[in-house]
Amino acid sequence: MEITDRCVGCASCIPWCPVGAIKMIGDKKATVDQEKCIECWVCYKIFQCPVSAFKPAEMVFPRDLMWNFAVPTKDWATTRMAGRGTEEVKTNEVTGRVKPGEVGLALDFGRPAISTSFKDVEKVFMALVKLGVEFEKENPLNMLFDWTTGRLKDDRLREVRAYQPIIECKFPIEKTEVVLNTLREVVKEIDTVVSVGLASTVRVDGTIPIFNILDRLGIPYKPNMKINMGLGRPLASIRVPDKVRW
Amino acid sequence: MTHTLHRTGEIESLKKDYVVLVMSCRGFNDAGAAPKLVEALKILARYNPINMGDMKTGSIWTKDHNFEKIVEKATDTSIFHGVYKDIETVKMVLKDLKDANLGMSVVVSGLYNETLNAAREIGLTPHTVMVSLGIWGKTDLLPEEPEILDIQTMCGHGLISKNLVKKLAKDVKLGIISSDEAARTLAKCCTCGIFNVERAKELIEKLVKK
Repeated sequence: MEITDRCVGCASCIPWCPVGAIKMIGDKKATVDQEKCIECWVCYKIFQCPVSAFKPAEMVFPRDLMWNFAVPTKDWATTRMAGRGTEEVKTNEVTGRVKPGEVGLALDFGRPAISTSFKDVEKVFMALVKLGVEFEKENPLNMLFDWTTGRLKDDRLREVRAYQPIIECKFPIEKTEVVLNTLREVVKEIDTVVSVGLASTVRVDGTIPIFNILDRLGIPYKPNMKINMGLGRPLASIRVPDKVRW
Repeated sequence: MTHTLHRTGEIESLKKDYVVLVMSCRGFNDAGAAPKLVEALKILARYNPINMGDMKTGSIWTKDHNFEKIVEKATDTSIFHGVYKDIETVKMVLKDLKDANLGMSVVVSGLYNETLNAAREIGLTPHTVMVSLGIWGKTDLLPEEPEILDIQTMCGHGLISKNLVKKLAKDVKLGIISSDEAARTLAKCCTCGIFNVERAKELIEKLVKK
């Protein structure tokens, strides 16, 4: 995003930027710090500039990529889906993506409202690859990373910032402990935050298989969750019986 | 698209914060889904949601947008949301969605035990959950005031600036705007309509008292 000479320096746009990329040059004009801007377009589409001074930057690499991650209404050409991730477990009763005995993991980098460099995403991607987790094929990040090594395909991306990209993967429930312990270590090396989500099917009695593991590991979880009510059709997966081995 | 997960807050506040999402499943049941999704949207609207919208076209707070336009722009892959302030209302919404038998996926984001009990009363059992383990990593980057984080996490796409929350709270404190106006201004940032305007108003009032 750029600010044209129309700007009258009223500074009313400054608080609207989620990543604090808008600053004043003296007291005459505002400017956008291109290193910080993540192309969310809040300043352009939601804030109403009194003199219409905002103008989108030319959408060439890497700004086009950043724009796709940051604007939730924009579809990805590859997945034809809006947003940074996939349907994940919102349609799990139909897709059977996360099956009984499996755990889904969604890592939102730089969320909430911090942003991340792809370099930090790469550190976690590489750590997960070594554990043999199964990455979600339709996730937009998979265009950018080599699945076999977890490395970025294009070195130029390493310093590029993106808004809340998501790593999505799944693994057998038995691997939950090693995955979470690895994650606890690798996030110490990154310069941003990660919102961590785990997905699991629900037993018929309403209990959730992963809770015992989380309790044993001393990892707290929130009481408010995202709950798929099982109303989608056709149904794909079977339920976890009341009595199971884990 | 984990946008309705990771909402932070105290239990008493979260008891007033439920999002119901309805969507088709791409490649499985999306062909010809638009009328079913619109029927679901009308069910969501029947119970006076605090907010509603389509992730792809905007919310009722988006500039030049409203419920009729959300319906008009509905497609086979629309992702509709309604936000409610109590589990009893969510239970009625779920019952109507179940009775309508649309075959679309329905996801509730909110307190699990309350939702499980409500679901059981109407003959539903949750199929899958996504659980938030919170925010890991360099958490000193997060806002110090929990109320600001609670407000920010009500837009899962991160479009609400902590500086805007602070500025609006300051304006409320100075008597320039009301807490209701501040909450409505913030709601414009959340394009898919999952921002709980009433909860935001309460959180702003808490911030103002600090």
